[in-house]
Amino acid sequence: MNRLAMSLVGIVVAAVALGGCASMEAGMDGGMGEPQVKLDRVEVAAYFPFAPPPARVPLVLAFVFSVTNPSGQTVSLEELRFSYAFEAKGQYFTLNSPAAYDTIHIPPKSTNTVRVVSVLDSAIVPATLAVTQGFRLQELDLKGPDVVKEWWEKIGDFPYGIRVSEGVATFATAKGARLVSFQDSFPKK
Amino acid sequence: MKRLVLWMMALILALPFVAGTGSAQEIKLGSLNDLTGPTSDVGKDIALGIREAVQYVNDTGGINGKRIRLYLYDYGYRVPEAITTYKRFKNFDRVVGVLGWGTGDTEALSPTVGKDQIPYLSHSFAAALTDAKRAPYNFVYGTDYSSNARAAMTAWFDEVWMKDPRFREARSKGEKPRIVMFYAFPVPYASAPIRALKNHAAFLGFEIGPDQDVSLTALDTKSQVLGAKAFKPHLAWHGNTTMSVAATIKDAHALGLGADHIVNNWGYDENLVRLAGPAAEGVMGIAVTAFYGDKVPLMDKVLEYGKRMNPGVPQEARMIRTVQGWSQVLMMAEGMRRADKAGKLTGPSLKEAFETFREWTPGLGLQPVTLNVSDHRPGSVIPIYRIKGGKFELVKRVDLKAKWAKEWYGEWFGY
Repeated sequence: MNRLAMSLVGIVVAAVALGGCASMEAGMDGGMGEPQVKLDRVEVAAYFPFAPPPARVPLVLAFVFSVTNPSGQTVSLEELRFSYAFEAKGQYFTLNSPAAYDTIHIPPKSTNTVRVVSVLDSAIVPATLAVTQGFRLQELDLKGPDVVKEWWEKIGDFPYGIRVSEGVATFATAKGARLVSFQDSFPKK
Repeated sequence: MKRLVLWMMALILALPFVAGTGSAQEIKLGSLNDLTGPTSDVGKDIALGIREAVQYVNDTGGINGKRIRLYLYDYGYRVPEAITTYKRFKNFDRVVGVLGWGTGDTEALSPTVGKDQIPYLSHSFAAALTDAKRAPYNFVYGTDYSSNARAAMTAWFDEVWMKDPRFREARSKGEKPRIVMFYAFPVPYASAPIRALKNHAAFLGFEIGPDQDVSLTALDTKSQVLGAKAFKPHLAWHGNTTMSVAATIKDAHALGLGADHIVNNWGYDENLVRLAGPAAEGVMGIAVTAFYGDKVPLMDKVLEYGKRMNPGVPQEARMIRTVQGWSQVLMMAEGMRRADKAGKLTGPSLKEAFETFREWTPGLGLQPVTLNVSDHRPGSVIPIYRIKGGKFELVKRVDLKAKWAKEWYGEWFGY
C-alpha cells in the first residue's frame, strides 16, 4: 500500500510538473521577447504589361516578411495585416490593405518566412486614389491614370518606394492574443 | 494494472494544463469590407473599428467564453467579388454570421443568405433589407436610408424653412421650398432612398428639381452644380460617400448654388469637415452613432483599443466609421450570446436571437434597437446634426413613428 501511495504521489507530482511546463510554454512572459515582423522584400509575383483603359491589368505583388520568435516557446501567428502605399512626387499613396489568416507556428528562437500576395487592378487603383486621396493628388498636380501607368511600367526596377504601414500581426497565446505592430519600406535605403 | 490506472490518472490530471495551450472554442465570423473600392473613403476606418471591437469582445469574455475568429476581406465594392467571398465564408471558413457592407452586394446576396440561413448584419441600411418577409436573414444596426432621408428633410423643413428669417419672404409669398438631389445614379446605395425622398418631398410640399448624377469618385462636380443652379434650390440632398459629397459642397459654395445641404449618413463625417473646409459650415446630416471621441458610454474603450491595436493610424484621422464598426460588431456579439445561451449557436438561432432585441443599445450613441419577426427596422428615432464651427451639433431627433404612425407602419415600411 505504501508503495502504491508513493507511486501515486510521484505520478501526480510528475503530472503537475508536466502540466506546468506546458502551461509555461503557452505564455510569452518572463522577458523572453516578443515576436518581430520585418519586411524582407517586395516581389512582382506575376507581371502583365500595362495597357491603357478600358483594359484592366493586374499587378501581382508578394510581400515577404520575416517573422522571428526570440522566445523559448513556440508561438502561433494567426493574422497578419498591413496597408501598403506607392510613392509619387515624394509622397505615399495607400493602395490596399491585405490580410492573411493562415495559422503559422514559429518554433522557439527561429524565423519563418511569410508571404502575402496582393493584387492591384489598373482599372480600380485610379478610383481608389480618387476616392481616398483625390484632393492630395490634385494639390500635387497628379492624375490617377498617369501615376498608375508609371507605377505599372516601372515596377520591375522598383525606382519608387513602397511603404508598408499600419501593420499588425496577431499571435495566439494561452493568455490571449498578442499584437505586434510593424512598418517598413522597400527598397531598403 | 494498478500502474496503468495510475498513469492514466496522471494523464487526466495533466490534461487541463496541456489543453490550455491549444485554441479555445471559436466562433467564426465573416466580414465583407471595402478597402480599395469607391466607398473605401469610409470603408477603411470601419474595418479598423471592426477588428478592434472583435478584440474587445474577446478580451471581455467573448461569446459566453468562446472566442470570435474574424475573417475580414476586402471586396472592392464589386458584387461578383462579394458573392465569391460569401461562398468562401459559407463553404470554407464556415462562419455563423456575416458582417456585410454595400447595398448592391447585400441585396444581391439576400436571397442566398436566406436560403443558407446565415444572418447578415450589414452596413447597408437600404429599406428593402428591413422587411423580414422579403429579407428574413438580413439585419441592420442603423435606421434605413429612406427613413434617414425623410428625417433630414423633415428636420430642415421644421427647423430651417419654417423658422429661419432667410426664408420669411418666400414663406409669406406662399413659395414652396425647392430641392435638388445629387447622387450616383447607378450606385444602389446612393439611389436607394431617392423614391422615398421624392415621396416625402411631395408629402411636405416641396418642388423637386432635376436630379444630378455625381460619381462616387468625382472630384469636379461643377457641371452638376451649374445644372442644379438654374432651378434655384433652397435645399440640396447629397446621397454619396464623403469624398464626392465634399467635392460637390465645395463646388456649390464656389459657384454660389445658394442652397442648404442635407447629407445621408455615409457622406457625413469628420472627413467632410476636413475636406470641404468652410463650405461645410451649416451642412446638416445624419449620424447613426456618436462621432469618434464624443463623450458617450463605451467611447473610452473605442479610443483605448484604437490606440493599442492600430498605433500606426493617427487618432485625429479616426472617424465616426470606427464607432459604427464597433456598433455592428457589438450587435452581432449580443445576438450570438443570446443564441448561444439559449442552446446552440446556429444561423436560425442567431436570427431568432436578433428578433428578441427590445430597446437594446451598446452605448456609443447608437439609437436603441428593437426588432421582431416581421419588422427589422431597428428604430424610428433619427438624430440630425449640423456642422457649426467645424463641430457637429445636434439639431433634433426626428421620431418618424411618433410623428406619422400610420405611414410608418403602412406605406413607408420597406419603402
